[in-house]
Order: sequence, then structure tokens, then C-alpha cells
Amino acid sequence: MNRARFRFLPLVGNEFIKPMQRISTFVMFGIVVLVGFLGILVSSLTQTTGATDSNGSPLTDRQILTDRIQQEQQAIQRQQSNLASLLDKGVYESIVGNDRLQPTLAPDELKTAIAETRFVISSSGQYLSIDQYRLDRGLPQSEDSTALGYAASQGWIVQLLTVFAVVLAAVGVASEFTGGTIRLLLTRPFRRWKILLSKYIGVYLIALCLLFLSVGIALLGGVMLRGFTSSPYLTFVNGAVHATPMIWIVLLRFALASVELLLISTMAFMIASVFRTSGLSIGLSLFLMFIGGTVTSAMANLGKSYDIPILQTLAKFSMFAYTDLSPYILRRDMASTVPEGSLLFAVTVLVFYYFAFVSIAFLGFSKRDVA
Amino acid sequence: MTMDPGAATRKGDAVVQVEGLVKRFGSRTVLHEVGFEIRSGEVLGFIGPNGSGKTTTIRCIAGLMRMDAGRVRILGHDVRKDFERAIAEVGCLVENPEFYKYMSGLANLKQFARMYPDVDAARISEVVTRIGLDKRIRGRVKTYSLGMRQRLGIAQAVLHRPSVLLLDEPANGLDPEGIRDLRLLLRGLADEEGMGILVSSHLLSELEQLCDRVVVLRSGRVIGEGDMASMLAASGPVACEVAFTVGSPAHALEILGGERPGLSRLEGETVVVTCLREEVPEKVAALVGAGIAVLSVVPTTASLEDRYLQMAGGGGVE
Repeated sequence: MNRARFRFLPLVGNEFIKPMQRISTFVMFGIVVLVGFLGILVSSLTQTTGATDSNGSPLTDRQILTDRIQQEQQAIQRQQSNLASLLDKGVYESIVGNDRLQPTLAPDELKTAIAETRFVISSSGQYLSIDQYRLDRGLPQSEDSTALGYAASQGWIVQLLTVFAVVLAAVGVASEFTGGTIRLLLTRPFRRWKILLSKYIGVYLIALCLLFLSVGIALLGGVMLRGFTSSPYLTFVNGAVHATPMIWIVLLRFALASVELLLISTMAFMIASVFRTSGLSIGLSLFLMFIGGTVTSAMANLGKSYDIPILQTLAKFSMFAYTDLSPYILRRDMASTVPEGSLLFAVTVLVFYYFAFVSIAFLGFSKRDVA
Repeated sequence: MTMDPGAATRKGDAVVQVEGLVKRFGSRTVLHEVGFEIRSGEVLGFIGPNGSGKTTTIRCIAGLMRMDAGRVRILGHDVRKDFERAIAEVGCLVENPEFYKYMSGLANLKQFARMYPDVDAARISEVVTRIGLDKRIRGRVKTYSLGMRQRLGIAQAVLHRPSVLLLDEPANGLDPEGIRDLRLLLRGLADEEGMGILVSSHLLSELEQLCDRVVVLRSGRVIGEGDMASMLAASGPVACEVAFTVGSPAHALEILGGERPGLSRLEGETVVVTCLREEVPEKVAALVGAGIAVLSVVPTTASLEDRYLQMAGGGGVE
């Protein structure tokens, strides 16, 4: 009889079954359904009919697009004449009614003003190209008004799931210690890291179920509110309009929001493994989740305004500066605000934090005595 | 045949070897080179006052605690170096039997069954029947009494047919019937299935009827080890306390030598006398001879307990 090979998969099964039998997990699923449908209800109540023509009937997509293109063309013309006067006279009077700009500009100010104007012209041109693309192909005036557009707008629900994942991770680990069942778990033919890994996977199996449920409700809500309308997601890349299937954008939004879920819940997992109490783990993780971003940007701003390098460095290497990766990836055009640093740097920082959390969690769980 | 040492175990072979076990909590040493063995087919009693290190020893054997020095081998596998193989042969119940309270007893057992390759539904129901929990196994553990949880604790420990059973105070919370069932179950597992069973307990009278051998621990040191029979024989003249319930207590006390502080006294209807075990029959004869109705004669301390108290040098938490 060879008992040396114990299968790992049943362990993961155990860690999926256990939380699923807790009432709190059942409540989580209930809340996700409730909040999902509440979102649909609120959207249907607040949905505006949009602009109307002189007869009071809503404008068609074609009409809206034609109007907008006209406005964009006018704006570009205006900016171009501004640019011309800037270049000609070295004088600029009203880019956007900015008081800072005096009739006679210093050379570097003039340079900045010219660059800004060029930038506005270029980004307006991009919007113009995208709207022209829509008009030419008879697409809706915006992808946000489609069924998948609604689904993509529901990515915020992942924040709620993050709270649940934190609770699942913290309770999943700590309750074994507080309930005394850890002794029954660790005296089995599995090394401790395997027991913890199965718990870790179990948490994310449930989180994944919750995520799929949310995406499903968001898609359903989109169809309920807006019918089977769709439009590709349009971006302006390398001088041409680029179309991406909208469903990818929906999934990408949820996936990007899940980056924070993964990091915060792994942190909760680490705290629970080290301190063996769920209260501290849940409290600290959620506290950091809600204030982390604010504190980081406050540090960055303070560091910049008062020239305090340590604050700048702290902000630069803070996990919370990068938990939202969407500005790096979902860039529609060059006008969108682009954070400092590259995507590669952001991902590197996140990966570093992730592995730090995981290492500490496994060390804390494996090395210490169990009373 | 594989090289699994478990296959070669014969009755009487050591299944657990504990050698030079040292455990420190900070600067305090709680186990000083503890060494003993558990043999196949025996029930080994593990006795010691509170805080003597019994539970710590069991935790070290089961891998819950790291030892600072020494070695524990289970069927030849070092617990530290080859944990999974070693612990696969162990079933244990350390301290209180705690379960997932929101699940049924059966769901709990299924959790543990999934962790072994060879425990199926038939085996689970066999064990459940054997520990006498059939009727309530589908109820939530939340609703179980301590005695029922204790039974479930035994069930999860024997589920995978281990060669070694480590039970920390298993009689805790059991009623007299439960204790008798436990004794029969453990004797059966040792005699028929050849398990080596370690039982720590404060219920010394229970150990006396159950165990083949005992190991006595005090202040983290093994201070005595031996067969139950020779242990009892070696105990020599041991004073014990006996309660005589009689028809006329005052007269009986007179016959038994009158009130002597620490030796004999009156407690309501009973006369409590401290004497040697061997003297009890003649005292009964004296009472009967004097025409006193002897309703009951109850030793209030068991003999192993006396022996243990002598070795351990009195009770009290260390």
C-alpha cells in the first residue's frame, strides 16, 4: 500500500465546500444578486430620453453624431486660428479664457501655449475621426448607450466583491484557529503549505463564482435596459480608428477591477495567517483598501508641493498607486490623463507586493506552533 | 511488497518511538528529553498532573509543534523529515474535539475522509455505527453534546485505519456508558486491529482498566514507565480511602477505632477510613461481627491513582 501520494484536489474541494455551507457565504451571493438588480432598477428609473428635436421626439444617433461632428469641426477651426495667431504674433488671448496668459507672452510660456493648443487640436481630431467612423457605419452615437456599455459600467461591483473576498480569506484561515479545527486539519498527511494553498485556491474559486454572477447580472441588465444593442469600442491608434469588440472591454473592466480584489484579499489572507484572527485581518485590509489610494495621492501631492523626496518615493512605491491599472490600459486617446511611469513599472510594483504577501502568509502559517 | 514499514508491523513492535524530546517555550523548558515508545496492539496510558507536558508531547508527536531537540519516528518515518508518510499512520484527537459546527457530523467526517485515498462512504458508515452516532450523524455539530463530539472526535481519528492512535483526554465529557463504550472500542482496536494507542487521562481509574502499560510524566520528565500489572504489584502497601455506608455510623466509627484526624471520620451516614487495601476485608468482618448492617463499601480513591500520586508527589498544577 502506497500512501505517499495524497491527492491535492480533494483538499481544494474541501475548502470550497466549507465556506459554501456557511450562511454568511449564502448572504454574500444574495447581496450580489440584490445589488446587481438594484443597479438595473436605478438605471431604468434615471435613464434620460436624451436630447429632443423641435417636435419633442428624441434625436436619432445619426442626428446626434452629425451635430457633434459639426461642433468638433468648429472647435478645431477655432483652435487652429488660435494656433496661427500664436505662431504669428507670439500673442495669445483666449485659449480657454486663461488669465495667466498675458497679451505678451514670455518665450517659454508661448511654447507651452502652442503645445497645449496643438494637443487640443489633435485630440479633438481624434474624437472627430471616431464620430465620423460611427456615422459612416451607422453605429450608435456612443458605446456607453448600448447593452454591453451598461455591463461595462457595472465594473464597480467588483469593489463589493473585494469586501467579500477579504471576509472569505480572513474567516477561512482564522476560523480554523479560533474554532480549534486547525488541529484536525494539520494532523493530516499534507504539509502545511498544501493546506494553506488549498484554502487560498478555495477563496478564489468562490470569488470567481461571485464575479461570474456579477458579470452575468450586468449583461442581463444591459439587455433588459437597452435591448440587444451593440457597438465596437473605438479608439484612435497610430493615426487610424481602431475597433475592439465591446465584450472584451466588459471583461477587461471586470478583470482590471479584480486586480485590487486579488491584492487586498491576499493581504487579508496574509494577516489572518500570521495573526490568526479574522477581526484584525478584515479590519486592517478594508481600512487600507478604502484609504490607501487617498493617502497615496495625498503623499504624492504633498511631496511634490513641498519638495519632500521621502513622501514622493513612498507614494511611488505604494501598492495603492497602481491597484487601478485601467488608466494604463483603457486609454481611448492621448487626451486621457496618463499616470506617471509605465505599465511595466506599475505591474512590477504590484507583483512585488503580491509575492511579499504570499510569502509572509505561507511562512506565518507553516513555521509556527499550533496550540 | 512496498518498503512501507507499516506492512511489517507485528504485535508488540514499536509503532511510535519518542527519543530525547525537548521542547522550550521561550526560556522555559517544558519537556526534558522525554522518551518512550508506543507498541503495536497496546493501549499506553499517559499520566501526569496538569501542566506536566502530556498535551505538548502529543502535539510534538502529531507535528503540531516543532521540537527543539529529539526525534519522533512513526513506523520508522521521522515526523519532521517525512511528515506526510509519518502522519498518514496517525489518528489523533488533541484536546477538545472541535468541528465545523455549521455542518453535520457526517459532513465533517466527509471532509476528513476526502483527505485520504482509501476512505469511502462504506467506511464512514462503518465507523459511525461503531462509535454509536448513527442516529445523530446528520444533525449539525452545533447541536451535539460534549459526549457526542467526543465520539465524533474518535470517529475522525480512526477513519483512515491508522496504525497509531493519539488520544488526549478522550474520556472528557463522556457519561459512564460512553466511557465503557470507549474502553471497549479502544480495547477492540488494539486487540483486533493491532493499533498502538496512546491515551492521556486524568481519570486514572479508567486507565487502570484499559491500559496495558503506563508512562508517568512529571514536570516534563518521564518518571515512571511499566506494565500495568507490575506497576500495581510494585505499588506495595498503598493507603487508600474507603467509605463505609452503615446502619449505625456512630457505633461503626467506634469499632473502626474512633475518630482520628486524617485517618477516620464521620460523614453523615458514612464512615470514611484511610487504611491499607489489604485491611478492608477485616474491617468489613469486624463491622458485620458487631451486628452492624454494611450497606456499601466504596474505595474513594483508586489504586493506580494512589500509585500515581506517590510517584508524582502530589497533585496540583505545575
